[in-house]
Amino acid sequence: MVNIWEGVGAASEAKSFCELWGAAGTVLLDETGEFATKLGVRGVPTNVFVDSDGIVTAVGATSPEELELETRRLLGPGAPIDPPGRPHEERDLGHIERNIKSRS
Amino acid sequence: MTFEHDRRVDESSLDHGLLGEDASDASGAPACLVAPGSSQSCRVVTEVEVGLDPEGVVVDPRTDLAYVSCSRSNSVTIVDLRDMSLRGRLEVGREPIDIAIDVPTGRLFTADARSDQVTVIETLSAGEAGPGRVVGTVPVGSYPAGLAVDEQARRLYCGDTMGSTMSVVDVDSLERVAVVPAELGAGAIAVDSVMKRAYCVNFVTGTVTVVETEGLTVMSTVRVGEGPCAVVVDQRTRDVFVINSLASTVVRIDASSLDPVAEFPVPNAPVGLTASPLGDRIYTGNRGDGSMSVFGLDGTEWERVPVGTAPGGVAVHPTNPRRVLVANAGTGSLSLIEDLLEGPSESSRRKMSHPLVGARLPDFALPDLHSGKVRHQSEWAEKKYILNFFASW
Repeated sequence: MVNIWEGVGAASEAKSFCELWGAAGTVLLDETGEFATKLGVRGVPTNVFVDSDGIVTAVGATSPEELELETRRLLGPGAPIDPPGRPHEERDLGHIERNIKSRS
Repeated sequence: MTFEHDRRVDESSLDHGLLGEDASDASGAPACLVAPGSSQSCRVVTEVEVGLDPEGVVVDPRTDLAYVSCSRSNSVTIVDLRDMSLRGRLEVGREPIDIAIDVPTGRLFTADARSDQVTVIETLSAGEAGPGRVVGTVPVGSYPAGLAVDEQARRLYCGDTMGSTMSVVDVDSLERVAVVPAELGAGAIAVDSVMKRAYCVNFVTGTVTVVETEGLTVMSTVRVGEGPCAVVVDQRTRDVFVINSLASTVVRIDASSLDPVAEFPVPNAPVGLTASPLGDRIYTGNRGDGSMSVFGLDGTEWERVPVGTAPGGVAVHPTNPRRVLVANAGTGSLSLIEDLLEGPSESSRRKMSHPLVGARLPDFALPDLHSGKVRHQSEWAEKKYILNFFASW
C-alpha cells in the first residue's frame, strides 16, 4: 500500500487508518505525491497491477468485481485467489465495528 | 502538500472578457463567469486552491458565494462565484467534513468530525463586507460526518458516524432536540420536505435509515451495498439515489415502495453525489478516478470530466443549474464546471485505458511506515503485485 495526499501528519494518519481497517502488510509513504503523479494516479483508492516483468497490467479497479477480474488476469488462469471474492452480504465487518467502537 | 498544477483557467472564457467587469448581460443581470460555450458540452471552466482536503461545498444563492469545508485545514473557505476569487476563511472545529446552509436565515453549519460538534456560522447578506462569523457550536454524537437542512421543519439533521445516530438540531434555537437511532457509519443525509422524510446512509453497515420527520421514527432500513457515503433526493420523482463508494455503484430507491429498484456502475470509488434542479441528471465525484460524471436518471453516463485529484463533494448552483462545483480533496481545490448537456455527449462512448497500462512501472524509493527504512522497487522484482494508493480521509 502507498499512502498519499494526507496534507498533514501522514505517518500517524496512515498508521491509524491501517489499524482501523485491519490492513496488514507493507505500507509506503509517498508524502509529496511525486511517485503517484509520475504514475498518473488521479484518485484514491487506485490499484496498480504489476506483473513479474515489472509491466503494469491494469490501473484503477477498486470495485470487488474489477479487483477480482484483474487479479485473476494478473495471476493467470486457474490460479487460486485467497481470500476468494465474496458478495458484500457475507463480508465480515466485525473487526471494523470493534475497532471503531473501541475509539468512540 | 503540493499542488499538481497552478490555477487552471479556460482561456476561451477569458477571451470573451467574461471574468472582467463588463460581464453583465444586456438585461442587467449579475456578472456571470460561465461563457456560453458550445452546446452539448460539459467542461471545467476554472479551478482555485481552497485548502487541505476540501470535502463539502455549498452555495448561498443570495450572495453567489460558495463555502467549502476544508477538513484538514479545520476551516471553511469562501469563494466568490462571480470571479472565483477567495473571499476569506473561517476557523471551525477539527475536521469539518460536511457543510450545509439554511437559506432563510443564511446560517451555515459544519460537521466537525473530530470535535463531535456542529459549528454555526452567520453569513452576510448581499452587499455586506467580510467573511461572516462563527456564532457558536452545538454538541452532537460521535464523529459527525454528514448534514442536511430541512428548511420547512426548521431542523438540521446530522449523521454521527461512530455514534450510529442521527442528531436533530433546531436551526433557530441551535439546540439538539432529538437523537434518532441509525447504524454504524451514519453520515450523509438527504431530506425530502414534501414526503417528510430524512434518509441517512450508514457507511459500515451498507444501509439507509429512512426516518419519518414529523414523529422522528424510523420507517425502514434499506440495504444498498458496500460503503454508501452520499445520498440525494430527486426533486421531480422523489426517488432517492445513494452512492456506494466501495462497490462503485449508484442505487436508486423507489420513493413509494422504499425498495432499491436499480443499480448502475460509476467510475472508481465515487464519494460525492448531487442531483440537478433540472430534474434529469445527477453528478458523481469519482474519488478514485479524478473525475466528475454526469448521469441521466436511468444510469446512462452522459459525460465524464477530469477535475482535480481525489474529488468528492459536488454541488449544483441552486439558481443557475448549469454551474456545478467539485471539491478536490487531493489537489486541495474547487473546480467550476459548466454543464450545457441535454443528454449523453458524443465523447461519452469513448472508453480510454490508463496510459500506464503496458508500460514499465517507474522505480520508486519510499520510506516504510512501520520500519522507517527506504524500500526500493527492486525488492519486488520478478514478483506479481498490486500497489494500492490510499489516503486516510
